[in-house]
Amino acid sequence: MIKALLFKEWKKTKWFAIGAFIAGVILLTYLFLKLGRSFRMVGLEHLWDVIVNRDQFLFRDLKFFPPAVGFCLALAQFVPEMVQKRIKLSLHLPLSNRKIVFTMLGFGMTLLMIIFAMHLLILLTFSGIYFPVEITASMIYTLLPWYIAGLAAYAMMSWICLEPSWKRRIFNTLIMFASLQLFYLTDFPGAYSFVVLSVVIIPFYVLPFGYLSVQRFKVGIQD
Amino acid sequence: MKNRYSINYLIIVLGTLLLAWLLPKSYHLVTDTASKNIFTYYSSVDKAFCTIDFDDKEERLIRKNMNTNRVYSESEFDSILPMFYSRQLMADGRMPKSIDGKVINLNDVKFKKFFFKITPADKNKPHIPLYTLFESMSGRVRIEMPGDVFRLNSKIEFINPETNRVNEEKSQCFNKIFEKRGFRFPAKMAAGNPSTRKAYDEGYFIIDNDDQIFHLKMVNAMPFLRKVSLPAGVVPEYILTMEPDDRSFYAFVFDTNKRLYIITTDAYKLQEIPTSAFDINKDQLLIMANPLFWNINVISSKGKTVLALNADTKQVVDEVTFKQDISESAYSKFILPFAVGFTNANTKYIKPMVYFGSYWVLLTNLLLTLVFVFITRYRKQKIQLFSVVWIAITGIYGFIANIIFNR
Amino acid sequence: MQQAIVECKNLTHYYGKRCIYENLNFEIPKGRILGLLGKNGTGKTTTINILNGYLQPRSGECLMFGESSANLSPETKQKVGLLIEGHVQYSFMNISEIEKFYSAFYPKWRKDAYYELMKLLKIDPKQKISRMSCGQRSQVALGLILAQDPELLILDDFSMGLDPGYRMLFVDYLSEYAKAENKTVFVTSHIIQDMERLIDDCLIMDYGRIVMQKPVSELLESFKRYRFTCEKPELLDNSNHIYNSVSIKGKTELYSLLSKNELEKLLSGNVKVTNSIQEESLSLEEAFIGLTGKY
Repeated sequence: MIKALLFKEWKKTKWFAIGAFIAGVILLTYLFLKLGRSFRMVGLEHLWDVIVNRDQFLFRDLKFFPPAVGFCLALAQFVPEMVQKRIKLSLHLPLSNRKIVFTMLGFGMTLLMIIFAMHLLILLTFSGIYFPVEITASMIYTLLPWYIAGLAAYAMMSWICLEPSWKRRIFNTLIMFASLQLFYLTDFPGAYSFVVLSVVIIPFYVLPFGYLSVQRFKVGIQD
Repeated sequence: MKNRYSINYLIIVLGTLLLAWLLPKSYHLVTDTASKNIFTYYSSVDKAFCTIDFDDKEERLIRKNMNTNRVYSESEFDSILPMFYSRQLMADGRMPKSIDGKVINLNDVKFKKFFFKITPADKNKPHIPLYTLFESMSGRVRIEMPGDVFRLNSKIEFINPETNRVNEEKSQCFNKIFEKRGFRFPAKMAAGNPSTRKAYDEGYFIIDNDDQIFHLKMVNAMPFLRKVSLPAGVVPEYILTMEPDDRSFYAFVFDTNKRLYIITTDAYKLQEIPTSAFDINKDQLLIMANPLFWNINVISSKGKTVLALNADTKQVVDEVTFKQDISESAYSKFILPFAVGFTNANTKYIKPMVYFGSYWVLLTNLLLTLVFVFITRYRKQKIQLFSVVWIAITGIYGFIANIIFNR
Repeated sequence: MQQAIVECKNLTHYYGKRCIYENLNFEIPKGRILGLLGKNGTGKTTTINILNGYLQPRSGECLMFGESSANLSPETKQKVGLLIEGHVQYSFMNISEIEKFYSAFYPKWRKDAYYELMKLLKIDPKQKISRMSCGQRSQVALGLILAQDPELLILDDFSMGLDPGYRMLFVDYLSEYAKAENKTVFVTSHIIQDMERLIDDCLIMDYGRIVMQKPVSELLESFKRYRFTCEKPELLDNSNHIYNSVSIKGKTELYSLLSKNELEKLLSGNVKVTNSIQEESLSLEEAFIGLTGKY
């Protein structure tokens, strides 16, 4: 039964997931080409110097890509459920409501993590070829908060989608934007090094919020 | 039903924390004004501290001698602080030939004048542990990029950026001397100025794992490593390699006892610079040096202390302290029980921090708790113990979060 | 006494301060097809939502197979087939995908029943549901419920948006199926003609109350329209066995459960009937209007 439920989620998000992955690859390719150009123009030694001694970060353009993917995935997955209250069908499936909702949310989270992991893998492979581990490590610390922001954006947006009351949705949106700010407090490379593990908690802390909204839907709250 | 409440509590807790972060932030955004910073410099002519301060009433800059309170005009002031305004005086042809019988050598003024500033964020920031070691004796005027960088893990390794490979030969050559000099890997820190825009290169001062300081240079493509002998009790915490124009010293050393030293070029002897308890993790340090006096400014949360040191002996000649009046408005003191912050002027790292207000706020918390109980009864809802306790603790933040998310 | 599949006890619901109904009680015995009839705004949708567990009533409860409808166990959900208003289904799937999807959830899944109905539609199994007409979609939704083979079917406004042909197809299929398999059905529709062909019992709601709950046959046998002329129509009392009397220039029309003789006896006293009373049998739709009024 869970497998069938996952099939339904995949049906809704398949094209989006493939699209998001391709968009990410295109973005990365663009960044790599841009970097390749600077390799030829100024040389790697200068580039290393700029990264190490001038605190430059080469992949700043990736900053808002993960949350954008997170938002869109949540929309792709939950808008079809909310349109015509199709969630009624899902909740009527012979499973406990909790299992249904958390399977859906878990699916989205996992899919997102797979897309992000593939991106990071490509990125880090590239970085591993041209840069020493020190620079790659710093890159990871700089990128991770943004990618975790993507997961948080997904969790928050699903919460907003599943919420039946418009008034509450507005407050949820405010909480979402305030929380997402936490991932973008500074542009300084590696600034999140000490807290990156605690930051991982945020998306998983937020994920169950959607279940509350489903329960609110179940008792008939709407406006 | 039970876990519906617990999820709601999670939302309220998150909402409260976000408010505890954003409300004080926006409050400060609206109310903050720049704290006054009075320029203070020791006059080699008047033998007293002189200041430039903005007078709010007259809306103009007041230049005066702190001891005599005599007010100077702008051009008068130039000649009272001839070292600070040396360029202006030279341009005007007003530079004194001697002060206190000491002949003033214009080149000396040029070489021995420097400004140095360090803030906690300069030290507490993420950095990538790769270092550029220049050739110190290239025979060329311009410093050139060496074509590699080094790392200090369990040994020293030079890496070529073009190939991203370790230069084994050079690494081994350097490693040998590190071993020979008794360097203990891994290094705690390495301080150098990896910039080609400087007059000369003194390489790196490195703190090893045993808190010893070593001076590393590359001379004629060969390693130069020398241990700096430290006086008993000096445990270095932070080093800044300076390369000043007059080549009188190599570096500043900040030790764990909040003392500041320079490593002099006189056989690497350490000389203490009095700073009146400068904490590199909290305070700002500004040094304005000239051939006669060093002006040491230490700016902490309590205020600003300025010391004038004899440039040769580094003995304190004069000292003045400006207390900062920390008067937070009563408004925030009574309303905002605490504030959560993630960024801080003292560090470039993101770190969660909580700042607590005064005890008076507990009164407001109590009041808000009562208001909440009243509103809950008006809404004909059941009063939850969690909400009441939470508002009593978190005050206005918990109150707002509960009003919105506990319907 | 037959076992009741659905029991609603003392349902009371308000939207804000507006009372939908108070202390509503009804039950659906096993094997019966119950139609809920009511004008818009009388609480049809409210009742369906409470029944489906998507609305918590202010007080009272609704039991399905003995479980509270607000919190059905997976086993009970398996026994309940749901048709949501507008034949909503997962329209991002195609005919064969959606069949495969649902088959995983129901052990008694009857693939044939679904495909038998799909054959009538003459559409490609790869076609997405979102690209189908409303009528075709209704058949998909019905086919899925038939394949699920639930003991209880809850159908919310099945006739909405359907052509007469599809409506008839739907009703025929459903009634044949329900009768043959002894299924319990709860159905609402705003087209009462369709209901007449389908339902055994009717539950007629008016603002805030149930006007009547009776087997349809019984209702149509006893509920009649009477026409006559009388001198003092203002003395007709609507509450006393008489429904919705209307008099225009002495010509009076009223509805009643009373037989002609009983009515004559009731009226003989005061209103002075001047001619003989004409009795008319009614269709369900006419009876509905008779009970709830035209407005």
